Amino acid sequence: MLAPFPSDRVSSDSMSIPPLSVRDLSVQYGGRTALSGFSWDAPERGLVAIVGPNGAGKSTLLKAVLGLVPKARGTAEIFGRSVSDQRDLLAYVPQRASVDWDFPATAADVVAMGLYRRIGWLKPVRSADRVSAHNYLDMVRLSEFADRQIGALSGGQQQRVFLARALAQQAKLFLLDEPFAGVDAVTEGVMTEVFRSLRDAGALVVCVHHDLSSVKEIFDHVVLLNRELIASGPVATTFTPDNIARTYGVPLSLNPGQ
Amino acid sequence: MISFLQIDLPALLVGTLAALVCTLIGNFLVLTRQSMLGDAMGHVVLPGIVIAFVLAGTTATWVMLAGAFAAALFSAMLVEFLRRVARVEPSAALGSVFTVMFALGVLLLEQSGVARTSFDVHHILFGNIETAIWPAATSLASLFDLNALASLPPQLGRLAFGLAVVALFVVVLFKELRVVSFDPDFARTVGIPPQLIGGIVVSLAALAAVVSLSAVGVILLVAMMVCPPATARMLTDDLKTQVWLSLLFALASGIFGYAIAVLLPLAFGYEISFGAAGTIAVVAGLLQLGAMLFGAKRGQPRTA
Repeated sequence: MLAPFPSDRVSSDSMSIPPLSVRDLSVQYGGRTALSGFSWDAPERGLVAIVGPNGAGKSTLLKAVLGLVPKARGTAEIFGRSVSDQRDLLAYVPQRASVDWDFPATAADVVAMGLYRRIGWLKPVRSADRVSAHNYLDMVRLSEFADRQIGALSGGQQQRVFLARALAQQAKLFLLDEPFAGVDAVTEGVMTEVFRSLRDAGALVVCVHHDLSSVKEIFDHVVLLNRELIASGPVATTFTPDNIARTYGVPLSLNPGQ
Repeated sequence: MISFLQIDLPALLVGTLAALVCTLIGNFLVLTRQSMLGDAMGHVVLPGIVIAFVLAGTTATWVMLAGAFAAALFSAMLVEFLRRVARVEPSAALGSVFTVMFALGVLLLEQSGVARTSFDVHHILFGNIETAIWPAATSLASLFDLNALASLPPQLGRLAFGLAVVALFVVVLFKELRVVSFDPDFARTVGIPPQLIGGIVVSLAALAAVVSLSAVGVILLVAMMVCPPATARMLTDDLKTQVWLSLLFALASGIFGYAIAVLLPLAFGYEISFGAAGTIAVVAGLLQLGAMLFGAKRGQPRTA
């Protein structure tokens, strides 16, 4: 079922507070500008792709929103408040390459990390939490791998473990960094399905995405980024060859969707 | 029997407790690829101890501990400063800070004239388990005699305190330590600050270094922090099991290391026994070699 999505302009004018609202965000890396003057109000719900060339500041945008890298300027609000007030409402999936997959943990151990916030400081993970972790693994069709060491999983399975951990957080806003990078067809199918059910449940899923050819089939909104915002809006009207060419700086002959 | 109680038992306890406290916190250094931090902690406490002695004029336990701890924390902050602000490569930052601090300690030690009176550089470098003696022990009954127990070597009390503190933090913060070690960015987004947990780990490593320094010495400290956890890591994929196994290996290193130091030279008719700190480290290394050769997980497929 596809609910009609209000356009960005309508949603920001309406009474509802956007899940993510970024104002004039700039990030510097050692004197170099990684992101400059980025402003964006996310739609209330749906699947958003952040698209742009390498080094366009896509991952940096997510990290700056989450406070993982310092902002040189600007603000980011989650449902109208600062990130530190809204941690219960958001789930972050970092790039798969950012963690040590040799770590002594099973798939279920990693998924249980999504429950840590609700378990609370200083309290141990209990058997009820482990049961819960198994249920989330089941949602990404990995229940039979629950006790497998994470390094012994395939890249796609690792990505699904990360997705299950995000699901365990029961968030309303999901920020994922390249979830589709280097995954197999099964994983791509499972993830797309999970994202759609999240959207249908009213959540907003924002993915840094690198594969232009799959934007139309997976996402319904797009943010085109190259160190600054190039364009944003529904895929149907915003993901045009013209906008893509402006984002990538060269008139690409690629016709998205073909 | 009396000589065992007076000489061997306290030394055995000191060696084993030192191995245990270093190993326990060492698990989290190895997991976060900061093994050399343990080495650094051992080196940087030297100037701390000497400065504390010069300032306070006493070798009282708590003065020494405070000085060593302050030096360790100062160095940890200096390393962070070099890394973040001056953008020095992490291992270079660590390497320069801990060697310079150690050199400063050596200079202070020689210049302040305490070298001959209260400190023995040889002991600080290589450890000295053998000076832990319990002359008050007269029979097995001494084990239950509060007066006799009160005269146990003071290092034992320090080690027991250090082990208790490290164990408390590891138990209470186990899940926080796990998530911060595995995925610090994620940990931060769920409100568990990696800097805070990392700071606690560094502080506990400093504490472990301080309480066990007089037993195992600066040079062998890192062996105690790294070998048992690395050995355990090769045998299991469960963090809790790894920690327990590493403690078991630390215990075995302490007991067998000390036994070898005492018994092996006797068996060959030598008069002088080995330094137990050295044999404990060698046993820990041999256990690691054994795990590498015969470890159950060896050759298991891994993805990069």
